[in-house]
Amino acid sequence: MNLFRRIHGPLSARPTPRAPLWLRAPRFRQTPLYRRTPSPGGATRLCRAPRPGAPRFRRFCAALCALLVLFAALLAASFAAAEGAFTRQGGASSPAPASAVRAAQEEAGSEDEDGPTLQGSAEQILGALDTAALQACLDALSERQRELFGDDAKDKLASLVDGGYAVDYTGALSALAGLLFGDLAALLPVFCAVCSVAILCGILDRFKSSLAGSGTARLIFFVGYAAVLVLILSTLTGIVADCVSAAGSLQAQMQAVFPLLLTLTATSGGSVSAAVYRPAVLFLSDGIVRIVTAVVFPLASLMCVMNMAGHMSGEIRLKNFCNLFAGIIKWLLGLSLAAFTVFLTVQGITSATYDGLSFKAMKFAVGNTVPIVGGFVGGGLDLVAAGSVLIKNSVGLCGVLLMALVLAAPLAQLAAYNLFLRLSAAVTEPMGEGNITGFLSSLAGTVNYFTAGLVCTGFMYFITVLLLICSSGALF
Amino acid sequence: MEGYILAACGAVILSSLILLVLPEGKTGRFIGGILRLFCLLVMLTPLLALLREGGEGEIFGSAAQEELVDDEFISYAFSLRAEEQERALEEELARDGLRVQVQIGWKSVEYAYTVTDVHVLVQDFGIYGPDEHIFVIERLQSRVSALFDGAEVVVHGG
Repeated sequence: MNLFRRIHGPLSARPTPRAPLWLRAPRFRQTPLYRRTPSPGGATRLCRAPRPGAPRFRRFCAALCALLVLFAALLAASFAAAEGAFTRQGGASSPAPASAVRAAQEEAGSEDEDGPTLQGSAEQILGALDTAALQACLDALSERQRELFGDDAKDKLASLVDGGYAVDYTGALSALAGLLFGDLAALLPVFCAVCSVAILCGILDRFKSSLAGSGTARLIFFVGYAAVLVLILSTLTGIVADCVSAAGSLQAQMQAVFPLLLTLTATSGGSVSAAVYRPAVLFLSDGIVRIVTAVVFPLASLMCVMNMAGHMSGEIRLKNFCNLFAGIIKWLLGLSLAAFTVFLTVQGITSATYDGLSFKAMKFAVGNTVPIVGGFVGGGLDLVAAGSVLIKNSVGLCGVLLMALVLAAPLAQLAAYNLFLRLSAAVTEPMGEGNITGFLSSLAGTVNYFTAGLVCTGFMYFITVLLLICSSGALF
Repeated sequence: MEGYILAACGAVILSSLILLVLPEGKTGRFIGGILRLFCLLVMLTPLLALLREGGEGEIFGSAAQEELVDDEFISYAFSLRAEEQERALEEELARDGLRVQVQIGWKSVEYAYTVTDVHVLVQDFGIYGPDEHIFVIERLQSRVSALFDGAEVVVHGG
């Protein structure tokens, strides 16, 4: 018989052993720390016992956090919608009235009663000029833009020919500042929400090991990222649509202004210039604008989507694809700008010089070989040409003003949006979720390509108009 | 281009969403690899076709050859110029005592104003007698020919 049994008796009579003190206190431990679980093969293994109620508590915390994030995003979106996105503010004083200047000119009696005058010649030519296309561009502007520019194209051209129109620089700058700060004020609620969501996701990410498992943490990140995407996309789609619309307006303006400029260049004696500029303006109004609207803008939009997808999941890596498209955009815009501007400037200057020399040689021959009638007839040739030059310069200036009006709004939007993206990325970097911060930062770089496309188109348009205006400078 | 953009965006977003919900393990890794390959194919295949179109020069299509110059306005402006020249010539000859009627024919050659012919009808010879009419006509003809180089000049008395 067992000696232990003989001394202590059977098991039922044995007193139960007392657990040590650190296990006895009920408020510290109710269940054992480790337990044995069966494993395949018949053996048992020791694993950590789950805490009582832990799965339910964890799920509850994760759901609460997700609900908080979603609620914050929805609140911010409704707040932004109630504010009204992109309300334009700021006032601009209208340009200085031209009536006083024009009245002074009339009182001074600029008209010569003996014969045709420059002003009369210009008015006669302006009356015969077909400005329907230019008027259609003017009618396509918004009400605010028409207030700054004017309602009637021919009246505006006539005031420019008379010299009665004066650009109010103070008013223009204040209008531009109002535009910019209006956009900033409209975007502020959206980006406050973005920053708050990013910081909240960052805080939750830091405590994910104690609150939730990896799957729940990924779910929280996805909800936060989706909230940020909704806020960003709601503003980005409007901005991209405005950029495309601005490019279309520029194309319509080119198709209205360039025929007038070429016609007036030809009637003012610049036949070679008109022939040289004709294919260039055709390429600009058709080719360059198509490159920007059909290649640059879509590739930039694709880069935005790739940024969103690339930062959503670490599995999809698209950074080099973004770099490829960025390189394509840079090469296209750079080559177009450099080649077009250089060739057009050189050709334009040489053709204008040729026209000027031909004109002056003809005047010299007339003035010197025919002693009686030469001088007067040579002078009589200038009125129609001079009138055409005045109207051509006025049309060019109108084109430049219209271009500035059309480009101001989308460029201000893009500048404000870029500023807020970079500001949000900077603010959320210390505490926010890394993927969201990276997404904001890369999106800020991608938005610049929309700005580059618009600025390149506007710059080439401006250079072409400037060269056409200056092409008649060699004639007089 | 728009179809390519939509296809690429759809493939990338769909893959990202599926990868988020994939379980961990060999199956998840396998499916993730297939999805990445799918995204790559969707992005690369149209690019090859795009490059081929660009090589053939059909990427921009045929640009419409628009009439950029208003021929009617040019004709109007050149007719104004011809009228000015006629008026100026008549006024200048009137100072010499001659009353003439000038008619200038012109044409637009590559948008350049070119005088083709000048007809001068002397209606009143003024102080010049009948013996000097031929001399005046010859002088007028030589001077107007020098003025409008290359144009046909016809001067006759009325």
